[in-house]
Amino acid sequence: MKTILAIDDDHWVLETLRDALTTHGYEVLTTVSADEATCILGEQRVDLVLLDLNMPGKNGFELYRLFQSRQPVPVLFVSGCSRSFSPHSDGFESLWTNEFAQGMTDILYKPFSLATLYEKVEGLIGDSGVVPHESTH
Amino acid sequence: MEIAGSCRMNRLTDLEINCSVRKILVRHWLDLGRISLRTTSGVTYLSGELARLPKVENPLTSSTVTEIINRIRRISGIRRVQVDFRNWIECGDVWKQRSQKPTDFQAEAAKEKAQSVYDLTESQTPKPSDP
Repeated sequence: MKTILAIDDDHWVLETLRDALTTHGYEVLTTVSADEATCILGEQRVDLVLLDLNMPGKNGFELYRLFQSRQPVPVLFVSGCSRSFSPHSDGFESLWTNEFAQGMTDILYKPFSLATLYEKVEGLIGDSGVVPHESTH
Repeated sequence: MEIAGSCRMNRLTDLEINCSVRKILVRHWLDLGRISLRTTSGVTYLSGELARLPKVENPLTSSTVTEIINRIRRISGIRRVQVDFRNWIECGDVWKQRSQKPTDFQAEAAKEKAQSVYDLTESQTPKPSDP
């Protein structure tokens, strides 16, 4: 089973992501803490990280750079602010030309539809290999 | 999973093709969040909006779009590329910006929100002022 780690400071968003992706057969781990996310990635295999850009204490870009320096993993940034992905943002240009340039990172802007979420996830790691059961939502 | 590391140069899987396409998009400073990409059995589908990241100075030109699409078409393992951008259209061998006003991304996002099952709008999203 493919494992996705979702990191967001909003519990409701995490719950929603977990419900949506579990329905499609992925195992979803969630955390609101950048430190806990780092521990999880150090301890177990994760196929994809869903990463909120604005985390308290640690910027999503910093966390992304840290993850990629340890063990490169596909990342889907989930953000409500497209302007953050700009060469004018601190340190972004180097991230873009190095880490993003590996082709294993994508961006999903909020608000988004579930169809877009599934497409971005499947575009990075493929489907779960499990036939989805019907959502009750 | 096969895609960790780098994309191989021989015949690529669908996921590796996606990886190669994203590499090309990133090289041209294109906003990945506005582009929809998927590959099925070697057929790559691109849709959404082809636009630079915010505050990138050089605007996209017809020749740049042609170069991008041609590079994608040359990726090993791609059987076909199907493109349906809102803001660019292929006329013969030339890519042209659609004559309509460029899509307002925020308006498009709001429309998508209205159609989505889950509303994941961040709490700081400005609300329309009361009359």
